[in-house]
Amino acid sequence: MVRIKDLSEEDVLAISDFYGEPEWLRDRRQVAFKAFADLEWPNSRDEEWRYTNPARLHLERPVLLEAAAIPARQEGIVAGAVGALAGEVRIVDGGVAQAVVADEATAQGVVVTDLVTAAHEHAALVQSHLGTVVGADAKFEAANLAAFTNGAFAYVPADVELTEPIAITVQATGDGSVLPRVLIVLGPHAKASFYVDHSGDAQATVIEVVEVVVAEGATARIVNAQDWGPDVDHIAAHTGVVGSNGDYRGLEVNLGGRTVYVRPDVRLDHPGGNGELLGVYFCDEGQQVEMRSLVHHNASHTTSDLMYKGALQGDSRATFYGTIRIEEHAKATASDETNRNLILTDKARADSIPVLEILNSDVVRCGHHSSVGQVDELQMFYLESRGIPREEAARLLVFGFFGEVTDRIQLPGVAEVILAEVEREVRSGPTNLMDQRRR
Amino acid sequence: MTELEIKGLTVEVDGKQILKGLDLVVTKGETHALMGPNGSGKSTLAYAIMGHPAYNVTDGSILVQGTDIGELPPDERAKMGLFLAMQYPTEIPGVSLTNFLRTAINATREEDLPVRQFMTSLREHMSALQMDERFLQRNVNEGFSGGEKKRFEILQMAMLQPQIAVLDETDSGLDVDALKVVAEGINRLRGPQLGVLLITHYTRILRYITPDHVHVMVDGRVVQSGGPELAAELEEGGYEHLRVSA
Repeated sequence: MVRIKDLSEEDVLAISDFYGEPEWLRDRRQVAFKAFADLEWPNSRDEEWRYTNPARLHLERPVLLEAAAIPARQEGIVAGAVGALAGEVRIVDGGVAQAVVADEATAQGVVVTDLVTAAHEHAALVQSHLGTVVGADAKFEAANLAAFTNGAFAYVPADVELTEPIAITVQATGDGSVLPRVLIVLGPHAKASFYVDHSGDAQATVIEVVEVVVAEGATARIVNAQDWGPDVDHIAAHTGVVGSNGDYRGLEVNLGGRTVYVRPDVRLDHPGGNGELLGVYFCDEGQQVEMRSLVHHNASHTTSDLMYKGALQGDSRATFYGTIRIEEHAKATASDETNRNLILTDKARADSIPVLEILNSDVVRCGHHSSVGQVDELQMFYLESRGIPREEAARLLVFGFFGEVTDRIQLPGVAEVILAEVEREVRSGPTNLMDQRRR
Repeated sequence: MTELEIKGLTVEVDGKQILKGLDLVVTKGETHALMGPNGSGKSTLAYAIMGHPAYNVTDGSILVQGTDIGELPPDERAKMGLFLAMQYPTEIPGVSLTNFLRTAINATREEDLPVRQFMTSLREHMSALQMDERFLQRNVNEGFSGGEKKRFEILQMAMLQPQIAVLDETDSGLDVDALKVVAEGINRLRGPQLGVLLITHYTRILRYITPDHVHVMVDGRVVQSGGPELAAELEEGGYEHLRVSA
């Protein structure tokens, strides 16, 4: 039985054998394993794990290597939001249950398939990009590169603009650990959007990497949405690397799970690149969510904008830790980050930590905004005095709070499903906001 | 018919007694002006009538059509036909004016008003208040000027059709032109179906709205009541002599 907590080199080779991988990929896994073995397991004394105790994570669950059957019911939130697709990969537990691509997209040279198949059929592409965005520098990232349980590969060639999105669904139906890996590559001046949807009610630990390569002048829009059941631990790196004048727009939606630790990063390595990171989270009883983001200005004239907004109820806890790093050689950059938290119950807690690391003085703009607050009782009274019942008033205010982010989402159908989920959560939760005489 | 009856009302805010046994009756079809110096408790009365949780009724009662509403939450009071135009309307980011008004109207009527009927009525009232259609795209009170906020309060009053409207210093912070527009808006709504309690510090608005009754409030009580002529006396003599007699 392969387990993440005592992963061995033999396990890694067995995984490679199981998927029948080419030699070069087997070697990659081995190199990543060496990095993994050299790294310590994170503990709560590490700065990066101060807010989420790694001891909460279930790393003893057996690694699943087989794809389970596709569940009859589509549970994810964004998968249902899309109509026609350019392609789709369905990851169920430890494997890919289905991969399809529209004929029209194939004719344009678009590739949508599972990662192992891609390693055989598109070796040069996969070989030159796999692990270049998210490598083996940290323990869980190294674990994924060494032991990933298949995953998805999507390639949009130069100058191809897809009007329909590519959907990647990650579903956890069986108890155990899975390590899905998604590699997305956009050639120069390509344009495409991706809906990555996570769902499942199993007792599962998901150690995931989604790496996106945006070549010069290309535009990638990607939503990573999770609505896990209450027994899912999710550790993920969702990272884009942007070429010159490229544009990466990432949206993170965190609604479910027990312990969720996500790194939504963007690396602006070439002049003129732009990164937009949006985030919406709603945490309930028993949940702990951390979003630890890095916006890396690693070239001149790069721009970025980050906005994360979350609401918390029950005894939930959320941490937003957002770093903007501007390298010494990255001149004339403009960046901004905003994180706002709405606390709906006394027991919920949010930590909001914006960090600016600015290593040169030639900065056009670099701002940060951060807040943790409760629903404004003046606003509540105003709405109630107009005949709006307290629960409805709270719902309006929560919607209004998220509106600032959801209004900016350009992916069709996504804002609507997020707001519908928020409505469901607000209605379901026990909030002391409902106390009439609260002041 | 008596619509709003306040009997021996005492109200505390943060443990401090502000209203000290106030009596007042407002009947449908009448306009009452409630005047008084700063700190006399006028706004406290307005909030207490509407049920703001920070305003603690310690004695006395507030009756609407004979029913004691002291324990009712603000939204229930609104459904009974009460309306409060606030002195400082609250900004509500992210909530559009249209969405807010529809929610409020459907909640008070307890049935959904058809959208077309709602929009027609909204446009009529907005035009009467000289409000631009672009307001419809804006969020509730967000970035509104003082005059725009007051107009929006009157717009809400027009749309919600209350039986008793409490207007708390609706004239404050308005220039003469805006004051005229707002006063005209209120006058248009006056009639046998509406009782108005117009709370004001100054007599200025009473040049445009002639009250049926004038009450003077000092230190948490109504100390004098009379006809419109009382307002004229106050304009001449101010509140000083009343403060002494109180």
